[in-house]
Amino acid sequence: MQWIIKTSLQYRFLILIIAVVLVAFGVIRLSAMPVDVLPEFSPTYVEIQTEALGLSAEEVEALITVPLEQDLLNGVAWLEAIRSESVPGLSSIVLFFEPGTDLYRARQLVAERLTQAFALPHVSKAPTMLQPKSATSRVMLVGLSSKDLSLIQMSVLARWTIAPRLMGVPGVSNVAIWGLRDRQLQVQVDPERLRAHDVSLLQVLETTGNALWVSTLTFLEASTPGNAGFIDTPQQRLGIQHILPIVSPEGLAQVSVEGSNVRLIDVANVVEDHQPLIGDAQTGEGTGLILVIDKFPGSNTLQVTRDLEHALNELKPGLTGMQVDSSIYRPATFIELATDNLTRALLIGLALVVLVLGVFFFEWRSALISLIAIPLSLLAGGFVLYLLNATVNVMILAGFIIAIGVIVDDAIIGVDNVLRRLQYHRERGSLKSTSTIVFEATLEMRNAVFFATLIILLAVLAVFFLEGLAGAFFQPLALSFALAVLASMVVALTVTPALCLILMSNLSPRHRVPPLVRFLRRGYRKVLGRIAQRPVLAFAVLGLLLVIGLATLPFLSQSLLPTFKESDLIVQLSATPGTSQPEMSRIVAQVSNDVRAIPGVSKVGAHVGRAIFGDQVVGINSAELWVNLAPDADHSKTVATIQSAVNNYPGLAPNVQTFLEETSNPVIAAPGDDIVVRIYGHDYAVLQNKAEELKQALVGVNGLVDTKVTLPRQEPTLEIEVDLAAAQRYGIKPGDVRRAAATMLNGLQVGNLFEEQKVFDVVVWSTPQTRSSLTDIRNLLIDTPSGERVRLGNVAHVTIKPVPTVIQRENVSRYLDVSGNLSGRDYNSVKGDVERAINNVQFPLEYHAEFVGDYATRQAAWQRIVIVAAAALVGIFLVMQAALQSWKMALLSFVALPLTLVGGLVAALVTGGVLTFGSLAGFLAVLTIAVRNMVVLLKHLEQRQQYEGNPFGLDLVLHGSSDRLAPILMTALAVGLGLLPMVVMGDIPGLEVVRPMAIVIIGSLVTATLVNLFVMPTLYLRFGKAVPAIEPLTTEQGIQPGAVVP
Amino acid sequence: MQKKKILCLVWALMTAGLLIAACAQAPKSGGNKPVPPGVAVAIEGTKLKRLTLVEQAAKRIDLQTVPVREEQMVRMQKVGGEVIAPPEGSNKPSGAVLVRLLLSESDLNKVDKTQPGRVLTLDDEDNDQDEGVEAEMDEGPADDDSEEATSALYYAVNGTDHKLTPGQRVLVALALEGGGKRKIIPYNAVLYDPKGDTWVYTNTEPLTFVRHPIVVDYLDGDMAVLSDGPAAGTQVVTVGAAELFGLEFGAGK
Repeated sequence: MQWIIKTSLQYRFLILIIAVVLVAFGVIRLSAMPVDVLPEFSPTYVEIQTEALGLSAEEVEALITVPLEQDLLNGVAWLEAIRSESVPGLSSIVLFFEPGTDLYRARQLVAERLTQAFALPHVSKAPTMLQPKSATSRVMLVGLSSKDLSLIQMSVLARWTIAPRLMGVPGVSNVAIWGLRDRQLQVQVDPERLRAHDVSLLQVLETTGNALWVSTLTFLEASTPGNAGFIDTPQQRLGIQHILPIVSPEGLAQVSVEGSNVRLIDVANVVEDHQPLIGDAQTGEGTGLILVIDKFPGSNTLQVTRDLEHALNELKPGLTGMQVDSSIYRPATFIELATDNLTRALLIGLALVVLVLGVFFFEWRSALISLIAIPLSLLAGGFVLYLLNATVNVMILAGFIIAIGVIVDDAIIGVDNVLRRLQYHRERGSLKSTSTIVFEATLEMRNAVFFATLIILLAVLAVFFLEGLAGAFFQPLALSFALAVLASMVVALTVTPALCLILMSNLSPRHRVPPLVRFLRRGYRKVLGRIAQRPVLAFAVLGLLLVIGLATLPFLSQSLLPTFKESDLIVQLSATPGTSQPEMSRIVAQVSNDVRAIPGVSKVGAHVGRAIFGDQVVGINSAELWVNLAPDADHSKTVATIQSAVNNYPGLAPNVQTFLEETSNPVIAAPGDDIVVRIYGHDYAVLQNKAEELKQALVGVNGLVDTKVTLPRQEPTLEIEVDLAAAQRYGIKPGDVRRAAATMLNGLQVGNLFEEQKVFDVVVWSTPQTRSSLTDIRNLLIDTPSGERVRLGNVAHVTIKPVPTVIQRENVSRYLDVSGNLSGRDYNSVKGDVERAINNVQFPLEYHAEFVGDYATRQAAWQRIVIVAAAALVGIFLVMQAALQSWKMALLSFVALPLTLVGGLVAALVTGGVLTFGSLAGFLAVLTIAVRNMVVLLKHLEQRQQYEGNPFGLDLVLHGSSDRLAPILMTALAVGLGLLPMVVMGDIPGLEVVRPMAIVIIGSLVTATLVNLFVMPTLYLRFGKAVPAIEPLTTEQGIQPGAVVP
Repeated sequence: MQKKKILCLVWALMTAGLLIAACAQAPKSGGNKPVPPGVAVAIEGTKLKRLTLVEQAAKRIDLQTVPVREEQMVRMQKVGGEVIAPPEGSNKPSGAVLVRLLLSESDLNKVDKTQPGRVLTLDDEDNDQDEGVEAEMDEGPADDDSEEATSALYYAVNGTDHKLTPGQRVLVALALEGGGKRKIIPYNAVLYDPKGDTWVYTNTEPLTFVRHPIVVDYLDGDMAVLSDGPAAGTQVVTVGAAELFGLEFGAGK
């Protein structure tokens, strides 16, 4: 350390230049750093989605999910858990990897496995590994509406022009289109006309497929279209190309049916229509399209938003007749507003800090040096973050603000001590060079501060032992805090002494103590004089603080994350499973119109159900309304009105929250039940049976309450089961029935139409009247080999059965949970009893039960943290003792430290009584200041005895403490006033995290300063040890004997 | 003396501090308890629940009811067939034609052979008007070469102005068995529960709804013809039935 200071003094101009370059670099680079609200807190995961339109949840599970899970995906390296959800039409498998797994390596391994997926049955589109998404995935919602264009025309534009362009914007990982109505050429057969003309369904399929260029049906000739070729004349080569004359439904309708003398138009309606819908969307103008745009992890929300808006602007001329609204959800607005407000608060705070420094230093040089050191430390810390490719988010910001105490204090005490020493030596007419004085003064301070820094670093040690999601949240905070503290230390060792030497060489020897400081010192000495000799008073004050602190605790509530004043809300609606799309669209339109009419709401967009590659794995009965609030609206009042409006709808289970809450809730919400026993098996009826049996067995377990079985929701599903005997009479097989019914009820894609560089499906389906009720299904006509037609109801049982809406699998099996909560006994004994109960239940073949839930891991993690915290406390105590060389003083300081924070508790109580993690960070910040002040004060008193010939006694305490009065007050006022604008500006966007922090810091600074200025000197006078004087210092090298050299 | 004074001061401060802390209002939400939009109360002895809605909730979901109607129903079905010339030797007036329909046995049994049918050409199949020509059941040619499971049905169109030619494909609107006085309700009042039973919500008192079991015989366009259901004239819920279902069985994932 000595070497560092000496070298910095020697090469002070070089240091200055480096500092200037750093500042310039920092200002330019850091302003371009990606900004987001929350850090990336989701674990490493890969999601695979397979679309199978028209397949029920059970069939999706059987035909797609199970083969994928069991044969292809299970056993991938570093896999921690494999979970899947099968909903009607979609299989979604999510693979969770061990913490710390590299995302791209994991994706590569999964991709290798997926190459085998071609072997899946031909009922779905190919399994697709979704692009990686940020934890706060959605970066923009774009609404499309038009009075002139139909929904199908808008869908074509959205799918073929807009979405591909937007996918090309850097940082965009996915664009999903809700409400997409794919343009299809549909041959809708009418069974009775088929019967009238004696044409079979197969003939229609073959005709339609073979009429086109390409068919996906392998049994059709059109599956091998053939290439046209080219001819060579003696001079030229002429390529040959075939032009499809069928460009519209009218063209296709005229094609004659194979094996018959009628045309398609005689047996079917040939129309342009769209596919069965899995979801829908509504913009302000009624039904429309909503594009949901997701971003990559770690991408810059602001930059991506700007690029997206730029791309949309470029496309606008080609989208006449269509309104494009890119502000339904735009998180960049909140980030911009928040950054604005925060910057404003910081600038005002900075002005106040300048004021404080000016008044107290009363000397422009010292004020300037301090003012340079503070932002320099912050920039240095930010620069390291930039090198680490970090994103600026509230956690990083909080870490910096916690360190502000350290940074300001470092800047002030360094300069203040140099000034004081210079003055001291000049007054005594010493001939020591400025360089030596600066060196000694800096070293003196750094020795004292070394211990304080060690204590602070021990205090944050526990954070690095947090695992999982809490770790993902708080490790950025600890990292930025540690970086800021280290940067501050480096600056204090290098730049501050260099600047001091440069600027203060010509300090006038007549430099006097500033008048304000003189005045304050006088008053302080008077008051302290009266108190210092009554240690009882000191204890009384400590006791009072303790009582007040304990009294406030029951009134304070905790909430981890504050409510961000985002201007966007999500209203989630869930109708009962099995609700139809027309009904959902109707009721969502009702709710949207209701909400739109509320004053303060500027925009409402809604999406129902799913979209291809969307992030909602739900049935059509689920919907989300995205509500945009006007900037000048009364936020909480509007939210309350919206809440009561949507609560007025029966049977919809509404839920109002912000997007950040929705994404972070699964992470930080209170975990579920304490004891969870998971029964794995394949039949829900058997699982339910065993679950009930287990639940009964658990009733007798002491200490377990609220035992329940979580059953999956069920919805009515039509089951068609062929009666083999009846089918045999007509000569048809179950597969024939399925294929015929599937074509009539779901449609079968027989080929493609290539037009204008787009590809459209050609589908054979049935007329809507053929498939709109249960009776219609029973009446479906199935062709038999003999040429006659038989009704579906005569060869199959058509019944309605309950089927789970969402089939969840974990670790490659279906399951049911039996869960309960602990009450009265400890986890391990209850677990033992439960395990015994499990052993007494007979499970059939392939069924078994397991303990799940993270209670045990949570306990273990909690224990680990407690141990580390305890070790840290012991370490802090020992360091204190080493610093103060006195067990008694160490103990007293150790006890006094937490009591300095009571002021913050009171301040929090007065301003709302809610402690967020920002408040806790504020406590840490003040703790750092209080520790430093305490240690520096006591060390200074020691040094006065050792080197300045001030013997132990009241006089020492009075003068030694008044020496420290100015820097302590300066730090407290600088930090307090610097953060004051945040409190005064109110609860506005951007200040949600830092305002509670500022409140707590200001409150605690009051008590901390009082304790440090009045209580600690008193206690020292009573309990401190006298320290022998040492031969006054400095040899020419400037080494102080007896100084601690780290 | 000084010491005592200061000590007294300190004690006073402490008690004051405690009092303030005790009086500090814990910030509780207080507020009015929100009124739920509807309540479901189990009915004794049944698995049903009585649902009572708040008036504003019913307006919000735009709840509508219609009464159960009782009407004379004729079940009609359109079947495709071919026009053939009358067989030799039949005593049909000239110009008459037969229409042959190929049906399976079970379908054959469902046809009400007492009623006449109407023959529609395929061109005007789109309009629902019964513009077709009336036709009566006929025995058909004796030497009909029907296969085992198929039977043919023949309708005779008499008269000369029917514009039908042999070989033409037509649709015949047949009457099926099962007509008569039946209760009918709109199909959008029908709800299926997961087990497959069918229900409607009846509205007996204002804003009160109870589920009622029904048995649907068949569907005719938008209307459901019941073989069992609530008495004629009972109001049943059409728009808003899904929301009532959600209220009774619980909505949400």
